[in-house]
Amino acid sequence: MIGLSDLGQGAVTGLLTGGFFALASVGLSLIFGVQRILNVAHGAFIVLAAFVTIQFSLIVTPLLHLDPLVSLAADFLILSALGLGIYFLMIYWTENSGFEAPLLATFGLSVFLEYVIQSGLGPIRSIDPSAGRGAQAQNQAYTLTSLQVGSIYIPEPILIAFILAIVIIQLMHVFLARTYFGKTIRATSQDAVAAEFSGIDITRTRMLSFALGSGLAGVAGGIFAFTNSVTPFLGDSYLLPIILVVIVIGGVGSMLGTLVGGFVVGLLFSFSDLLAYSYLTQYGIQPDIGNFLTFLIFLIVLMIRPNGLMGKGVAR
Amino acid sequence: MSEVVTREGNSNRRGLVSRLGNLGLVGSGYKISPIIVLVALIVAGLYPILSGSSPTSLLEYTPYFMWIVLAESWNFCGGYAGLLNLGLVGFFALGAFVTGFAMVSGIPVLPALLIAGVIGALLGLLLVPTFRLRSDYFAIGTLVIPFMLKPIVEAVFPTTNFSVPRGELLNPIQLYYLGFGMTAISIFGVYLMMQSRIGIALRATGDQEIASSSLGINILLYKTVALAASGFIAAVAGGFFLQHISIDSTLFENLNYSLFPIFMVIIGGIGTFEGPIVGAVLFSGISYTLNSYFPGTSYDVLVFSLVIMFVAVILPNGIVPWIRNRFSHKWK
Repeated sequence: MIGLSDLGQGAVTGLLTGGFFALASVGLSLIFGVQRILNVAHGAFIVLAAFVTIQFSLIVTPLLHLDPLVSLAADFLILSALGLGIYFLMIYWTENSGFEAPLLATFGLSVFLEYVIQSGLGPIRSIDPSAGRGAQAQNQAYTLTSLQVGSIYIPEPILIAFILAIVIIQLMHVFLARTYFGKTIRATSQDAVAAEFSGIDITRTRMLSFALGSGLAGVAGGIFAFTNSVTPFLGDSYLLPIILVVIVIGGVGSMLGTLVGGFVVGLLFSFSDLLAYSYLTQYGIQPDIGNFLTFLIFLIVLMIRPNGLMGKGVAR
Repeated sequence: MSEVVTREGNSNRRGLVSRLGNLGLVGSGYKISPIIVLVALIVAGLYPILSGSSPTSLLEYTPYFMWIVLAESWNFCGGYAGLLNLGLVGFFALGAFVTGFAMVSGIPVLPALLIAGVIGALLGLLLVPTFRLRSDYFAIGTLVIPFMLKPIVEAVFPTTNFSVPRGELLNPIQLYYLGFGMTAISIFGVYLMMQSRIGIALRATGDQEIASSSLGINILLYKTVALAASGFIAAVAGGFFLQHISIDSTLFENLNYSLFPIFMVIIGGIGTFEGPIVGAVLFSGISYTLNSYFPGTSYDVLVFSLVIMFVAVILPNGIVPWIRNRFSHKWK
């Protein structure tokens, strides 16, 4: 049976992981909202940043005694620079020639990054758990440091990830709503031609949004290294579909929407896991019901409300 | 569209020759590439007999067949009908699983492949409600399909590891001819279909959806046909894939089987007859060469990723349209 404390634990876990899903999706939501480019390399960006953080904790932390959380800033800068380079090498030339060319270009990039991560960065290691606060990787994270509130356990790294996600998404929202650059990004995403006529440099705006979106993938990747065990192909097989679901449920281009979408997906995963482990295992089947339910709800949302729960654009 | 008009104009001629002429095989308006492909297929069909090479060396050609069929499958709905299906691996892996299950249950290989094809076509029919979405949202929807199929398949099938039962294993020559037959049928099946009314309507739908709708073409019907046929072909390719490799359910998560066929079609020329064949043969040829020179490495993946980026930026229309523009007076 599912007790009340199980439900509470499920809700907390769902919300916390949902925060991470939201953060992972913010960057792509920005890029897809502004440029209509489905950057399938976004998952690979996140995994790349996760490996940067892992290498940081293995190399820099012992030397300079810096907390591995500092590497989030490095992730942001490195991935922003990468995004900038990618924009001028590939996206700039392909973004006006339809949907397929940028998709294909970023797919090639994703395969390339996976290859580099797999062969260039050596054997897969995780963060050294003794390195500092919040540095506990994967299994240790769930067993070693958890805050206990009543009967509910909150793993510390996931809590840190959640708080960072909320803060960053709020900052992004303020950036888009209040600053000049944010306003140019929103204008370009609504109507690129009209924005150009109003004197907005749309190439610069797109460059900015692509670099910013990639940088956000970097931050998400750094956090990913603290909360999960990382393998090179996780970007395609795990992150990318979830990110797309979060974006569509939340509404393309809406920052707060990704937060809502992230929570929905996180709660779906945790509750369906709860359901599967408490009831379905009795019958000898252990289906991956979380994935199934999430993608089913995604398809239903896509059918009924393709603009997402918080979106405004026209999707039909 | 001018091609279509001339073909319609010729259609009141009678007799076998003129019918072949309508297919572009003989006559004044003949096309060179179907004939080249036909000759190449005949050579490929006779190759095991004429070359006298050892049967095991024939195994090198199975990837060529599989990739050509997958590229044909994607080109049929993505190239002609304009349905950007990013979930091809769902059809492919489902076909492999159904074939595996059928063969473990004692059904011989050809009926098993047929069953897999029908299931793949049914999966295509299930996607019909997504047609009302704008193209990029359709693409996102289809990208997620394999990830949704994976838990279903894991729950439905008693095991998630499939390989062909020992007694049913094909010898290399049988495997070669299975792949050859599949390739020939898919190439000329798609070709004949594109010359028929269905093909013309499909191409019109892919070119100008609203205009063809206003001309009375039932867009929904033809898109459904395209996706179902594409699903059929991809599922059969999956069944063929199973014949020499054992699979497990992580196959559904392998985005490469969705996106490499798209890459082949685009490098060859999207929406053309020759495109998928040229792209798939190039792809498999490069892969085979690199793997035989550098065994044990995966340089082919590295080279492909670079080529994909290069092609997407430099040559987004593909090789065949580029050649056609250069030699347009000979090549219709």
